[in-house]
Amino acid sequence: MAKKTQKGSPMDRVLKAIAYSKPDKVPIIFFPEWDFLADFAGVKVKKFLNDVALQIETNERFRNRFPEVYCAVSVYQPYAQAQAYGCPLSDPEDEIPMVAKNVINTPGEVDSLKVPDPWDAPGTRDWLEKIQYQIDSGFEAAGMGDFGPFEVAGQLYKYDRLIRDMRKHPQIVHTLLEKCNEFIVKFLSEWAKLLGGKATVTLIADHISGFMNKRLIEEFFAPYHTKLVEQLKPYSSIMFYHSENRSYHIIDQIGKWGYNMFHGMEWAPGGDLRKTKEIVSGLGPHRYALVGQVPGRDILLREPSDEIVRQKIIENIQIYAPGSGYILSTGGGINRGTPIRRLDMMVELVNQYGRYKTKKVLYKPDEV
Amino acid sequence: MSEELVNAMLEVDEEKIFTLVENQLKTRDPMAILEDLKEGLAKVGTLFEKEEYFLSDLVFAAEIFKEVMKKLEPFFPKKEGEVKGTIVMGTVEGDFHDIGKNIMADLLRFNGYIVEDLGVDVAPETFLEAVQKTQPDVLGLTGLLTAAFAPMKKTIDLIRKNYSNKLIIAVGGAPINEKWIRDVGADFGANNASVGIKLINEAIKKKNQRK
Repeated sequence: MAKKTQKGSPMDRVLKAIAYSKPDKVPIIFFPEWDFLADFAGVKVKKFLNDVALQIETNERFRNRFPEVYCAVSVYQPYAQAQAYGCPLSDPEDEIPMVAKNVINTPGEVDSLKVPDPWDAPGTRDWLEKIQYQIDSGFEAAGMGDFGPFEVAGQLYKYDRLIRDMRKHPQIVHTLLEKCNEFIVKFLSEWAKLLGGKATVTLIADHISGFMNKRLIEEFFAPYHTKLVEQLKPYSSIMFYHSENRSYHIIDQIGKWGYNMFHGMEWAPGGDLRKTKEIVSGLGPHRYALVGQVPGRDILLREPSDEIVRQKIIENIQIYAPGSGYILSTGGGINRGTPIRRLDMMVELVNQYGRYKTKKVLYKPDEV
Repeated sequence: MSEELVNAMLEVDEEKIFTLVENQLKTRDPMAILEDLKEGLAKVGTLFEKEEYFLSDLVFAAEIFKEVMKKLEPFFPKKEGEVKGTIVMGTVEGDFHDIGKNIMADLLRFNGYIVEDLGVDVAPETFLEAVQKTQPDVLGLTGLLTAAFAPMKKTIDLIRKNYSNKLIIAVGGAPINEKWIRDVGADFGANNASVGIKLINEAIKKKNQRK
């Protein structure tokens, strides 16, 4: 069973935001990228990814550095599912590895593709072993998660071919997605077993929705994500969808697929941030919590002026926090090189502008 | 112009496009049909840039266009006689757009050229190897993104330095203008295929006269 959450903890705030009830202040989630964490640990990325004890120690240190924040950190195995299917990865010294080669070369190979046993395949087995090690070492991970069916399908089949074949060979794409879904459920259910049967949160990262028009979303994306969420619900209390791609065309859909939270980018129709809040809050039983979206790269990392960063954070709090259903975060992960002072700024500005009940605040989100 | 055909391409309505092309081939000039399809395709590109269309729309439209081109190909009279010249072409490194390049390659073939198409995201060194091997009359570099400028320049510098500073180099793509052509060090360039064909024909003619 998922563990009971301590009242007033970062996770407790997140749960309240999901339920559209008001925590004491706007919750914050940090998603540090693994190259960011390697820098935080003071080692090269390759060393970081190969050293599970160092990952745990660094994650602990990062979490302790931001006690007010729900830090989405856990041990990591890059592209575990693709590895399990036999995809080789690149082997850079100081970057996150990538899938170096797809394994399905012709549409016909999809039919014969075997769904691996996650304990019996490289990648997923390595990751499960790392998770076991993490549990044994006493570190309580943030939850579980991995890529969604389209992302895995793109890694196995090549992204451009996957998109082209939604037109040319739709049945092949459906078969592939079916197999990808099956493996994700197998893998994450094994992960959940290690956590005692159920995770608090499960994150599914699938950025391909940003390449697809509404018709394709309806035909391909929605059915597989709906099914995936349904099958993972016994293993996870909260389902969390993540996409670092255009997402304004799906903001009215994500809740219907069964997700409780969405961490996204480019989610405002016509650039109108308020519209997003209005649409998502008005989805009735399908409403979900928005997580974001202070631009990680263009603002937190690259913007030279701290004042502009500050304004952007305040803008996010002011637009999205009223009425709850909002968790402050970066849009996308925390990029390598992002100054720590800007992460501190997010915490400080929530204390200053994002309290729901205290009278001594400059701005009360629930009064807007 | 057939507005219906332009709009069918704009709406990426596959069934309608093929029906219209089939019917129009009975009465219209295939070149006029091609122009309408290109116009529809250009509109798809514009809506993609405006973020109203998605990558899937762009990819599907390009695929449909390629398939229609195959249907139109037999209707374009191939020039009899010897081959006009050899062209090596490709989309420069970092740019994965192939619609403009494919249109140009098809039109060049219709005009009697042998085309070696290196594909998309082509590294400068790959272009160099290809021209060393093929010794073409013209090297064509394409790119849709403004970010294509740097790899285009890098490729041209590499070719000029390591192969020949006399090779005719043409650049093509939506962002191409006079300044771009000058700054990357190309001989000429165009942002639409019909002008591109005309310029290549002229350059080859001049080259042959010098021989």
